[in-house]
Amino acid sequence: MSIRLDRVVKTFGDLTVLDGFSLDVAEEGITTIIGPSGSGKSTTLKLVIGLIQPDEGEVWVDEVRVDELEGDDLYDLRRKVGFVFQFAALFDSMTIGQNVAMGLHRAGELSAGEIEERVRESLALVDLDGVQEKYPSELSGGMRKRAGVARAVALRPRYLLYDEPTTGLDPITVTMIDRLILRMRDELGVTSLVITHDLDSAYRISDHLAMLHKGRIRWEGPPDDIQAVDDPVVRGFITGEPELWEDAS
Amino acid sequence: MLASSLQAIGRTAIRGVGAVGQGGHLAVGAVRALRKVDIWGPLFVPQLAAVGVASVPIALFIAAFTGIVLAIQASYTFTGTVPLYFVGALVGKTIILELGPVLTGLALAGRVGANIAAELGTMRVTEQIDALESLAYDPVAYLVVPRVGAGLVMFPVVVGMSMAVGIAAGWITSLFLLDLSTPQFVRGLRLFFEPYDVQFALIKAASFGITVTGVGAFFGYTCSGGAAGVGRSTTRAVVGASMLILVLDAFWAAALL
Amino acid sequence: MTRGREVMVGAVILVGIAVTVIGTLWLKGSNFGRPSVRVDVLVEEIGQLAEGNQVRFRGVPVGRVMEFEVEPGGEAVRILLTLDRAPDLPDDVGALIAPESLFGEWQVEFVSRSAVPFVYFEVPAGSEQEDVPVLGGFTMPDITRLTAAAFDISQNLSVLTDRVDRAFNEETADNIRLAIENIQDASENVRDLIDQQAQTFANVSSEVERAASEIGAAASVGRRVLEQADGLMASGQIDSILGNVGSITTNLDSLSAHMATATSGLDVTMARAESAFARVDRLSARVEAGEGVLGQLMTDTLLVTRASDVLTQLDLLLADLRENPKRYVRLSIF
Repeated sequence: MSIRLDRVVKTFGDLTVLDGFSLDVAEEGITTIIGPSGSGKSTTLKLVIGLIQPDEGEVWVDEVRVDELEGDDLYDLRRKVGFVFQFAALFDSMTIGQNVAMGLHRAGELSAGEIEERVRESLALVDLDGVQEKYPSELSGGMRKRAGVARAVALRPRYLLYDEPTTGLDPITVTMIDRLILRMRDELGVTSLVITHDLDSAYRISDHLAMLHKGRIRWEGPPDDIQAVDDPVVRGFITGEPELWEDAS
Repeated sequence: MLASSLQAIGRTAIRGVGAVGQGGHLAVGAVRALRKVDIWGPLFVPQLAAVGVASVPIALFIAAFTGIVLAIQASYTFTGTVPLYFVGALVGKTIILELGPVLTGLALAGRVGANIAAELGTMRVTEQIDALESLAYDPVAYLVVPRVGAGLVMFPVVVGMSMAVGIAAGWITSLFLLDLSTPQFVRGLRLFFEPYDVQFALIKAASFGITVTGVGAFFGYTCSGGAAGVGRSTTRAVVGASMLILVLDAFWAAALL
Repeated sequence: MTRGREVMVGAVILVGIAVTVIGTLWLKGSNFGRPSVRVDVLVEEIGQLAEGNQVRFRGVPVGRVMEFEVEPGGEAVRILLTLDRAPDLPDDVGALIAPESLFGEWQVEFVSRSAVPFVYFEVPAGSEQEDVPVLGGFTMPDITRLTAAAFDISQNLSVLTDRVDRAFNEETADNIRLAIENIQDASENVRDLIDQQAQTFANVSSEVERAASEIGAAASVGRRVLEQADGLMASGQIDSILGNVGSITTNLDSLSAHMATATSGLDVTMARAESAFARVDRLSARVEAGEGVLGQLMTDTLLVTRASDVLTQLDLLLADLRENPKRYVRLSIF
């Protein structure tokens, strides 16, 4: 009963991005995948919500095989999974309030008044009160990212996927976002899957850490254990030593 | 220079064949998405406004000047044996059958097609289309269907208006610049008029509407590669839509006349 | 904001549809629901009449051709006319279907049968549908058919003069006389035809001019031939014959010129044409009486008989032209 990827293979043209990738995401915890840019981290997130299909292997969310879903079943699944995009991907023709309300309108379970209330709650959760009427272009990068989180949690999903949540933000904002991710876990009880190459952030937020290398999980375990790992690939990455990294690769 | 031109042609052709496959996929998706009225319904009216209403000024501007030029050039050609009232016949027939739909279509390929390609392209490269999917919106129903639908509905409306304005411009020109009276112009206008011509023009206009919005949506939807990619998609949308309009024009002429 | 946009969209759609529909109806010549009167016309054939063509009475547009269909049995075509209002038509009204101009636009004109005598279609009893009045109609031969006939006339005239060239013989005098009588008949036929056409068109100028110039060309061949004969026979009479032929041509020319400029001058023109033909009559009368060199020169019976045949053919051709005009060429533009 969680998110599980089993021996997934995914290629784009000649490029094999995932090559036998397997991962179990622990319930109600924060699992973080680290790895260098271009190692296929984002691909794993898109596989989870069925934006792309694997060439081989299985992708499970709860008791459902995502890679075999089609059409409306896929859209039903996505209501259980919130996705926080790298650059927030807010709809720039809409106000923040409308952005956050989008998923709620689609679900059609709440009345207009309830939607308004939920939007306010969700924005308060990310400390963005009073920006409902503003457009994304009027907000800073950090505020936009928080608005993206608010949109993802508005439907109260069981799962939250974060795509590089702290990339391109100043240290203060990074810390705020990290706290936000923790707060989502603590207050809403969501299961989170984070991908990042920001190690400080990963150490701070993770319950479980996994390193992606050449399309597979090279190492996984509690974040405190990673400093003791002897594997030169892992060492090279966490210490930021290209020579060590390249020799081992 | 020549080699690179040939290479460009070849590359375009190869890309075109691939695009037909992708386009077919998108078209099937759009037809399937038609039943998701709850998604595209609320967006339909805004798109009618963006695609149709906003295009009226440019379409009428083009039509008016086409009418003026046709009237003057026709009178220049019809010297001697052909009576001057044929100006009315030429203006009416040409605008209804050909220039009304085609010039409007080409102008709107630039205005509407480019707009759609750029908007959807930007949404694609900034992951807004993925965001729609993640919020359980079918992006084809949300983005493609209302735009293509608006093109289908509004192009005939806009073309109908531009035909009327084009003919009126030709008539006013005949009245003030040429030695032609209103009854003479109207006589020429009615001489070879067939109501079927108008049907033909509207069918063409509807097909151009689907083409311009569909091609724009296609290149925007399948866009990749950041800002440069958006620029490329926009150019391709305009060029592709313009070419398809001319091909369709020939097709309808062969099929319906 | 949203409301304003919806109103705008609605307005544009309505205006677009209204402009298109009203424009189409107007161009089609609809009377936009005003009361209208239906009149049917029966004719043998409709020429190049098309749906939407005008109906006129004394030159005034009074309605339009709505549709036509071949009658059961295939003996006639029924033309359905819609009139804006019922004009006071003459008692002996007939429908003349003819081109209004050289450019293919045909029309139906209500005429008095006595004023414009043609062979109008005899409407059989019981042809009325739904109490709609039925008129008998006549369809004019196309102007191009007249041109084609004129071309044939000039061809035949040149054949004739060729033969005369080889056939001056005193013994053929009687046959020549017959031949000239045939010329007389033929020219009367041409005159009748031109007469009819002239009543119908104002714009025949260029076509008639061409016909006249072709006849003129043939006549000049004749002049050359006869001048040779004149030189041989040293007679003064031939000059006057040829002078007459020349003046026929001139008169035909001026006839067409007059027809082109003004129909009001038509009476004068026709009078002059009459006089030209009258002179041919007088000439033939003199030849008939055996006067002059020409009358005495004819000897070759066989060849002149052939010349006579040609003229008979010409006569038949003209008759056929009026009986079966459909066999001849049609003019079409676009």
